[in-house]
Amino acid sequence: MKVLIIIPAYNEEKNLKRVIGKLQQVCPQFDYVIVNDGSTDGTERLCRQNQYRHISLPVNLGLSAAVRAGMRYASQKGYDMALQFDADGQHLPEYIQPMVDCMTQTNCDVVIASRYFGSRMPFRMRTVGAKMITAAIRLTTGRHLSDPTSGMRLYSRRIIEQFIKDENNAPEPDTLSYLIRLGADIREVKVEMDERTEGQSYLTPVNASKYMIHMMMSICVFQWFRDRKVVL
Amino acid sequence: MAVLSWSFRIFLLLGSVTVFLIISQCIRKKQIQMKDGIFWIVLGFLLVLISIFPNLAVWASRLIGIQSPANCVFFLIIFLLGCHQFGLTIRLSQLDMKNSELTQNIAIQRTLEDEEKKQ
Repeated sequence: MKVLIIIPAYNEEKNLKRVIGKLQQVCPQFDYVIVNDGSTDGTERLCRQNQYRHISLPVNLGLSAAVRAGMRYASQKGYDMALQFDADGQHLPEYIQPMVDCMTQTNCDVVIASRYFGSRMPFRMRTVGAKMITAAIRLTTGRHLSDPTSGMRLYSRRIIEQFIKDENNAPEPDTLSYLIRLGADIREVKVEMDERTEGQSYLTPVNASKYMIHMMMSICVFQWFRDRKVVL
Repeated sequence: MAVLSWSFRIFLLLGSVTVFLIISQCIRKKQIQMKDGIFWIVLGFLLVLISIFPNLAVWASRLIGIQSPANCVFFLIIFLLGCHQFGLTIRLSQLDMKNSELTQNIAIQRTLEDEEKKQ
């Protein structure tokens, strides 16, 4: 099974070297590709100096397009699975192999690395939004996802092909709800995650509100109108 | 039935002349494509027509059941602008998608070429 780890990076000069180093050390059996999303810092230089495999977007397109670029690449190179992995060190490479095992054994379509699988999501400021998304997905699809906002997900070949067909497919919870409606088999694997070590989170109150409005509208309204005659 | 007042008619006329001037200037300086100027020229022409023949507005207001012809003119303008705005949203969205796809493909192509060189 050929697995590609897609690492979208926007101005991650400070974290990248450490994250890639750990990745190469913990799971050298998997290929990775960094998608430099038009960074303005030394990300590009770092990739060239260390000969990291990377795709450089000439302009900044945002996270979802960066992940899609990685998926297009995975599709062209004939990979069987693609993993979405953060460049800030939040995701731990130790859990990649268990996720790949899960997909290989069950032949499912998506594996989500869940912080709250088998336990309850703690009630804090930052989990309120995630709880609302869980509720919305459950309400509209009947499926319970314990950690829908987790950014560490493994996608099968079928999903990769589906993903790159439509620019609306973002690596976000609303696409998960769409995939469930298309009949995709989504599984979860229990993981731990690291808090951000360098740089600052984009999760300001304004951004979080925008994100929530977008997600709720998308899950509860727009997904009903989307093309559902897709063959998964 | 009230007709359009003289002051409103002059105001409309001045407004449409301004639109003509600005659009012709933009086309001359190549700031906009001609196909994008068509809407504004047609809109300006409509307003000129209404200011010269205010009975058109009276007739239209009776037709759709609006009491004041001036309100009918406002409605017409808002409706046309709304349609145009919607068309722009569609174009912007498509442009955004095309731009994203293009950028991704260019970047992937470069990576693939680099890989071929190394081999």
